[in-house]
Amino acid sequence: MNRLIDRARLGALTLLLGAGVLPTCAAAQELGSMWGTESREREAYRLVKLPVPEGLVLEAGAFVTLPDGRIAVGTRRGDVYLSSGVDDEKPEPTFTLFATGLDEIFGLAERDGALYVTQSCEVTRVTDSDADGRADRFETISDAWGYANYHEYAFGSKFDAEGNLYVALGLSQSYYSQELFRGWALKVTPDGRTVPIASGLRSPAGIGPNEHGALFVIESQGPWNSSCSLKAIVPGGFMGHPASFNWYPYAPELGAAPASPRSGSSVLAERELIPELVPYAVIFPYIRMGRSITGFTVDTTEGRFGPFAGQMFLGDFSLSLLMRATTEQIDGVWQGACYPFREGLSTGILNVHFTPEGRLLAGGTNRGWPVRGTAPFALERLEWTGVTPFEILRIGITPNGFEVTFTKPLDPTLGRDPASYSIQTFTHEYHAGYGGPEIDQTTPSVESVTLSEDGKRATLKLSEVKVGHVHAFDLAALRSRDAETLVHRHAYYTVNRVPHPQPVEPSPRWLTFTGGAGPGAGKHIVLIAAEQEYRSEQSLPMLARLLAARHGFDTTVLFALNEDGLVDPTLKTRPEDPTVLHDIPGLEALESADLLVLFSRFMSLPPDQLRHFYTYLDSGKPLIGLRTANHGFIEFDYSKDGERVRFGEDVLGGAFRGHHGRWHQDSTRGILVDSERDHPILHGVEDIWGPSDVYRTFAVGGQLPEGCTALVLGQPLVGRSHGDAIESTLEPLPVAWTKTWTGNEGKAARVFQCTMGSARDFESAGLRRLVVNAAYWCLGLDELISTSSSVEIVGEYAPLASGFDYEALGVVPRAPAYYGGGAER
Amino acid sequence: MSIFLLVVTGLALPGFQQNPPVVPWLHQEHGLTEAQVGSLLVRELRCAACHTDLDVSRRPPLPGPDLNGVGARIAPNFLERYIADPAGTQPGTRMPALLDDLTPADRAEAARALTEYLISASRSTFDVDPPERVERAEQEQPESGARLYHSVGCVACHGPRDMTGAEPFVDSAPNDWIALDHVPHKYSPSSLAEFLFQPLHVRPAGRMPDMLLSRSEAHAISDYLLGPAQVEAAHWAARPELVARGRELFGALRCNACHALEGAPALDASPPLDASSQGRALDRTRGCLASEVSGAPRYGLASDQRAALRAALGGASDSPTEPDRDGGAAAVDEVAETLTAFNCIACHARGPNGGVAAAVDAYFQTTQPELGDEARIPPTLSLAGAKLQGDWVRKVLFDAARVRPYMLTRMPQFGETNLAHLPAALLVADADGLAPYPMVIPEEPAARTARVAGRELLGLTGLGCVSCHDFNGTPTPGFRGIDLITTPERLQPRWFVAFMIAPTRFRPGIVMPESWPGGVAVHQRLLDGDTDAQLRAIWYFLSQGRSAEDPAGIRPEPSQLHVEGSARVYRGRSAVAGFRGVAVGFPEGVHYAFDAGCGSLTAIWRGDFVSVRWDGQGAGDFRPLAKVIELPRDVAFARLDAASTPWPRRPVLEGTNPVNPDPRYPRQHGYTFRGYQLDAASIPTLLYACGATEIEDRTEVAERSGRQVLRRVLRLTSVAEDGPLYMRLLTGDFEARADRQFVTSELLVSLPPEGKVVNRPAMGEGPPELLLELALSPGTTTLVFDYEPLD
Repeated sequence: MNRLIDRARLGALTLLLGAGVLPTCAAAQELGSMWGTESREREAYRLVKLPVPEGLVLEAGAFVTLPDGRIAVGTRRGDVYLSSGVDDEKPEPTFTLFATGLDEIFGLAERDGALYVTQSCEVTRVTDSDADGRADRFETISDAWGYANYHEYAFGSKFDAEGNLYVALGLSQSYYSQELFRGWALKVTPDGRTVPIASGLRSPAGIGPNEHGALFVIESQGPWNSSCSLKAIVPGGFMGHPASFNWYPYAPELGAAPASPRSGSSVLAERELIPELVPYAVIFPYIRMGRSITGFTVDTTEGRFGPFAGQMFLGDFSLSLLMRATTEQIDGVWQGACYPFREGLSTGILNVHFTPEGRLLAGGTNRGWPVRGTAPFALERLEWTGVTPFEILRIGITPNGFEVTFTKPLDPTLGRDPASYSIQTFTHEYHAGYGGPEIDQTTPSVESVTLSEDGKRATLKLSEVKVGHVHAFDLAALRSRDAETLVHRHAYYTVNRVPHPQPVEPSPRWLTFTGGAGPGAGKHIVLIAAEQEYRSEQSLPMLARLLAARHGFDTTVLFALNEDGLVDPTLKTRPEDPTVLHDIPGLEALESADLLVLFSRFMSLPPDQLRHFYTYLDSGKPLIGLRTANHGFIEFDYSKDGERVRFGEDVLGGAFRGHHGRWHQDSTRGILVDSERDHPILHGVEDIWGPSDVYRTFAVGGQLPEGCTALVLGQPLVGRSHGDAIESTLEPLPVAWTKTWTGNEGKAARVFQCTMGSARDFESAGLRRLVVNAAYWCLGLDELISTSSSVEIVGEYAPLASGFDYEALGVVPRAPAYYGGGAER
Repeated sequence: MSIFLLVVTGLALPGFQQNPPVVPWLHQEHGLTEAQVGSLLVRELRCAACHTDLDVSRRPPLPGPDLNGVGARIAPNFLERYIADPAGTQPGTRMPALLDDLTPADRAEAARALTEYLISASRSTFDVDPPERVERAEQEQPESGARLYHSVGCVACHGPRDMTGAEPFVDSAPNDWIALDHVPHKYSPSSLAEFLFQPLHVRPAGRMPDMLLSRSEAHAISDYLLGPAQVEAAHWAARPELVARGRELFGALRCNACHALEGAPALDASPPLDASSQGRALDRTRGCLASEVSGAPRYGLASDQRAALRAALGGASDSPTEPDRDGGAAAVDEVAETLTAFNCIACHARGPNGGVAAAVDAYFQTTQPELGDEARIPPTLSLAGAKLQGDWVRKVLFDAARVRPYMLTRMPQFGETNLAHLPAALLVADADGLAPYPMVIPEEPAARTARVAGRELLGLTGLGCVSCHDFNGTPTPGFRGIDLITTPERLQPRWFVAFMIAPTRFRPGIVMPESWPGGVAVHQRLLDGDTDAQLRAIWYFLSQGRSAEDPAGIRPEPSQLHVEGSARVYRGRSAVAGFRGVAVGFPEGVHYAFDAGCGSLTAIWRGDFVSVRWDGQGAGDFRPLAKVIELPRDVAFARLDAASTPWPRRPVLEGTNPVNPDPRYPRQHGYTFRGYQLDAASIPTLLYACGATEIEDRTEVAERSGRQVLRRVLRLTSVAEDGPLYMRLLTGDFEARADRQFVTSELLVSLPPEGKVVNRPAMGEGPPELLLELALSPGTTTLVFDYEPLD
């Protein structure tokens, strides 16, 4: 919350809104509303007031859903009510007083039947020890901060996955830090320790995870903050307001206080001098996007609340409205965009929360500061009507512009017209004064627009992306295919970093995916899908999206194309047609590749294309071979020490000798090799199963060549279901192993071969994790392999079955772009 | 199969009772032409369900009652009778009779089949008498349903009824109340209550609106309307062949043209009555419009209804006439027709039309009769489109927003899809009703002058508006008129200004005084008596919303926390207990405060408990409601090196930016607060520690020698020898009264027998102090202190 409110400014604002619109009656209705969009918003999002019993004052400041589905509401008056029935179609919720007499509740979490209440003075564990429905035990969990001014509010988070809870502490009188850790974020650990983690807060109004699980805080406009913003809390970070530096001696683990910022500079310039300074991730332009933004939550309703699943929602206290925000991490720095969402709430919004049925609760009060909504307090529920509003869904940054996605397809003519996209930028001074104007405006031109096939994604190339500026989008000129205008024409993206350019130029002949946040940032993986049987044209783009979006790698997928430039698994091979010559465009990408993932079969390539492979094999760079890669080439003419090298046997450690189990009838269960369970590639790998059969790669009675370390054995099953019985007459054979390869220049490369890998095999999360881990391992990133990293598929993945009966299987030549779709970030 | 194939062999049976459909607005002062009435009737009677060439596309669809679950909602016997003879079973219904032309036996069979089909299509069955009804009827005030029925607005369409709910007051009834006599035969108590709770569920067209009843209110009205009679409860077993026959009939009779029902046959795509497609003109004297209907659905139309329909259907055209008018005039018509169709005019006047009928006027009530009819009669809709902000109209219509808490009649909700067109139409229809009034933005310093003047004008030293209007959520001591702060949110400036200058022009008989009669300000002192300047100042002042400073005459009451029955704990800042204060109140009227920051009992007082302010940014601090006896606020326990070591004093903060020089005090003296536990009487045991000594600190009200004392029991548990622990009890002026009793001018403290009393004189800058030196061995020591306030 902003403490300092200039009444004159509010008055001027109100009249300003009124002034231009009074002469006509149609426009007059805009008076009193912020964006003038309420009548459109309500078509998609209905606002339902939750009646509060007569006499009950419910100044909600925090919410949490209990395991039994009731919602606990913590209030500014220090009460906790347990509410049932907030999701009823015509709600008449009950409110049972659970605890009372606490001091300004701005945080509620639940664990093991106890409520954890963050109140101004402390974090308190509140329990009902005699089970009479009323709390009777109040245990102080943390009071490791000073508290000597009423404006020293404390905001508490929910628990994170490790059981930590976070507290954000406002400054004294919102200007000073007179008491211990005012202006700091603290971590309260499960064993009861309180650990200071970051300084530099001013007047926070909410703390919790962003949509990617990173810890974020709401900051209010004021000194050193020209607008409100969402900020990432980085351990050891400095969040921008230097008043709280005096407590570093009390946080010895964080070392000395950072250097003091120079007033009148910019955040990014100061960051060059003060490495602890964390750039503000999402700036909410003052007035246009709220005056004092408050508690936020993430839409985890998986679509029940409409098209914005996975995004952040937050309220504004002064203007009684709700907004959305999305974030992304570029080179380790968070940034993102905010979007108008819904106005016309009844009171000042202090916090928001999703109900079990996927509606958004919003509550608050309007005392103390100017507030547009006139109700002294209110609890309201926003619910999706099922109507999809035409909105900007999300803005993401690209190396030379932005990718803007929409909830509905754009009118193609307007959508492809750069003139439909108006972008202006501005920045703020970073200074000690209160608030600050928008300065250094620029108007970059939109040089080109590429509209996706589904019409929902526009990729904009700008004349310049201004680092350190907020990019204000005005897309009023766009129309949906149904000729609708956007419900909200504006959105605001804060640029702290511009992503590095993709190592390979985008082309219609291949696919490129830019790495998002993740340990793979800066590494380039080239994946080659060039076979006829196992639908690698589906599985490798899927892996490429996953490695980019979830792990940060830049990825490029190359394909075998036919004469029409289409990905063509139906192309003949030399055994069938001795005249055939294959074509994999883009192999130059191997020069910048840090890792090659190869899934080829019987490729006959021209010498100038093969040369790229030969060079790669000499480079010492690592290699992953999947399934048919061990018979991936036919005219492979690479020699070492004067001897021709067999690609499958010599490079990958074994080539296809036969189907161990019935081809296209039996399936494979992966068994982790016991002695290798601690191998980094096997971290977190469980339950590998795929409907393809086991490859035999060495003679019956033989074994893996020397230097190969088997990690996974494939046990044939009778039939092609996950639970089918073991084919007991067939022993398990290695299906995944590691080895090293040394080429002509004497450089050793890490090699991983997996002989599973049909597109349907990759529906197994275990197999995906195995290959993802192998990519880390191949690149020497063993230490960064995490059992909790995501191997969730990004976008749609509906793999076709393996085989050669292309017509029956629905396999037809398609443009590479066909396989790139569905990418989210 | 078409309806004709079904009925062509049947005989038209004369002698059915003519019960024309009741359209409740038909005899109101609606101001519509006969053709407009007919056009509305075409919609209300859903003619286009069969006459698909009638163009009713301009309006939202008008679905009939949703039949999903009808078998659980409506008594089966009633359903069967109703299908056979709708108007004879439920007089006034808009559903036409469709089986007239069958023989009585065939008709009975068809009705039976349809009923069995509807029952079989319902997931649950009709339950006559849920046992909780009896219990509920005993608990509720028997007349509460009657009171609700006659106050929330039911009477506007259904007319008043007697106290049993059974009979309408005949003498008050024009013949177009929507009858309810059939209701006891139709519903069970719970099914009627469920319908009343969310009527739009079953009847999405919104003609029976949602009256914003709570569930318990819906039950009360249900009990009232059903009376003691119990609905017939025949158990019906569905016979598959009849169910199949019923389903077939359902499709053949085109029931699905009006009614939704899952699993029903698809609607016949080529209905028989599209005259244009058959190359012939509609005959307006036959079919449904014949005076003696046969071979067609029978609505039992009254002659005036037939005449209106004929007028609407016109002579030459096959479509209802749509006058070709410009946007403004079309909007005027659209508003008039909408307000009529939804019977808004039963409560609201608009121009010469509509308004509360004399027969029900007495049932429009208020809790603020002093405010006159304004407080009980729903506001006129004349110029509503020039009066209200569009978003506010939507909030009223769709979000149940209301600003007249004193008005007992409720503004119902008709469903957003049904009235989505109305807000815009209202604004257009009334666009020219008042001249625009631009509000000029004052700039500083004029803005400040305007704010000050606006505040004073509203206050008691100005025009005294706040003596009759709530302000900013704060009730006035007298009348409770509309909260002034809602003005800019609701009103358009032009209406505000015109209304303020001449309230009676808009509301004849309003009790509001004229403060600018003829445009001349009564109050000449402020803003030089400039009317425009004054009105703009008031508007501007109110535009500040909740931050607007209270005008003179508005005084928020501080909240007093009462202690009733059991003890009460309140945490908050206080001058007597610091920022981590804990106030503990006892019903016996003696209370104490504890500083959880330092672990000391800091204040004791007798009388009322505390007051708490709730009106500012940092509200919530408590103030004892009596003079307190203050005790020292430093840490109460410490391990001193020697009995002569100065007591560790809390840091004192001074100056404009007083940074705490000793932020670890009292932690560095071993103090940790652990919380508190409430017992069955809600008396807290405070839990804290001093070094290795855990302390449980419980205080209750007790008697000592016939006098009321606070008895404080401390249980100290040590795990190890840790040197003597000192407890500081009193500082300043005190003296020994008796053995281990000390007294100040306000308080008598009795010490426990344990421990060594250290009565030490002032040391350096410190005051004289009374300490208790405790040598604690491992284990628990219990100490009992009595604190007796001296009056």
